[in-house]
Amino acid sequence: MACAITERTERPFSSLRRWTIAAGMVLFLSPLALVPQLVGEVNMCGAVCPRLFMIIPSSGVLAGLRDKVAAEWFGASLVAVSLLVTFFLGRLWCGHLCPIGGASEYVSRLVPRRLRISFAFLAAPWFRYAYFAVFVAGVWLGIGAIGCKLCNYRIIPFLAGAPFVPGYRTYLLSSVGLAGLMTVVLTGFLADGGRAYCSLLCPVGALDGIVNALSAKLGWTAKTRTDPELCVGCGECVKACMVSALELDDECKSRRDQSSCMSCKECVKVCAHGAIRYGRS
Amino acid sequence: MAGPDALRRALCGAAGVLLGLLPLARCPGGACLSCGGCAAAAAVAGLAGLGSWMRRRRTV
Repeated sequence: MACAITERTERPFSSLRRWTIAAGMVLFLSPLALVPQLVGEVNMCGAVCPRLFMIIPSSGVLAGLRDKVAAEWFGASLVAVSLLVTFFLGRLWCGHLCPIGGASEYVSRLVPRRLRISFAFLAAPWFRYAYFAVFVAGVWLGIGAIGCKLCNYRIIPFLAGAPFVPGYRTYLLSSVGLAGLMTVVLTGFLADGGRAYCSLLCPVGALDGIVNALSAKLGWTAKTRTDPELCVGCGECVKACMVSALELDDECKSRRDQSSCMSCKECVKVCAHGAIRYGRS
Repeated sequence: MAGPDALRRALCGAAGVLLGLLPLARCPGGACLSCGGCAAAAAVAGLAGLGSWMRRRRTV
């Protein structure tokens, strides 16, 4: 049975998320960049980087992980705490605090709808974990390192700091900077929902998604869940989802991919039938 | 993620691997930083173009 979904209107953006994401941006991005400065950095690279420690070096998994975690200790700690929170409460870092995905989401809402690009046609989990596998194991397998190339944790802080730091402007105008900038613009600022980078390319999001999907199988963990008995198949949740984690199945019931769901809870608010709620199953 | 099927999943997996490999490409150009980012950015642009085209063909 084909399930009809009407034209998408502007996605909801709860006031709670507006404030928490704005707080994340103030804490992590220029001009204040309070958290990076606390640990002796000026942006989200170096010790604050939450990604590079995941790359397995040619020296091996354990030795490499020890060195990497020592170098990027704050970023690794941030990811560890994020995964712990995700296990019990869902992806609160991704959906409510991440200044990078949040900045993309903010900007994408300023873009006229006709210019936005939808990546909903992709089977996001398959794309995400294929890219993640290359990101993590590329060096170890002798292929090479994606590393900082295309990294939005580099591009967006550099964009925020560009008015103040000439070096950031120089980087953004270099070939590698322009390539990263283009990736961020297309999969972030111009993406429908502003979160295509988060859904397809972010290594932190990929790890978070695995933990969210596995812990969702435990009924006592708090997740955004759908009760199929109450779902009437109106599709409002599908339209509200910024990462295309929801779809209507063959029986016109809302079905959720927990590895993509960012626990933003916007779908809970738009469900007029009380079929979606956040909590234990 | 409407209408997932095995072929679409396999193609998306292959596209993910490809996008991961593209930044490792090397350009013989002298002034180029040889980062391979241009190839990856071109791939992202291709994906975005495909997404934009498909969005016009579908309601959601």
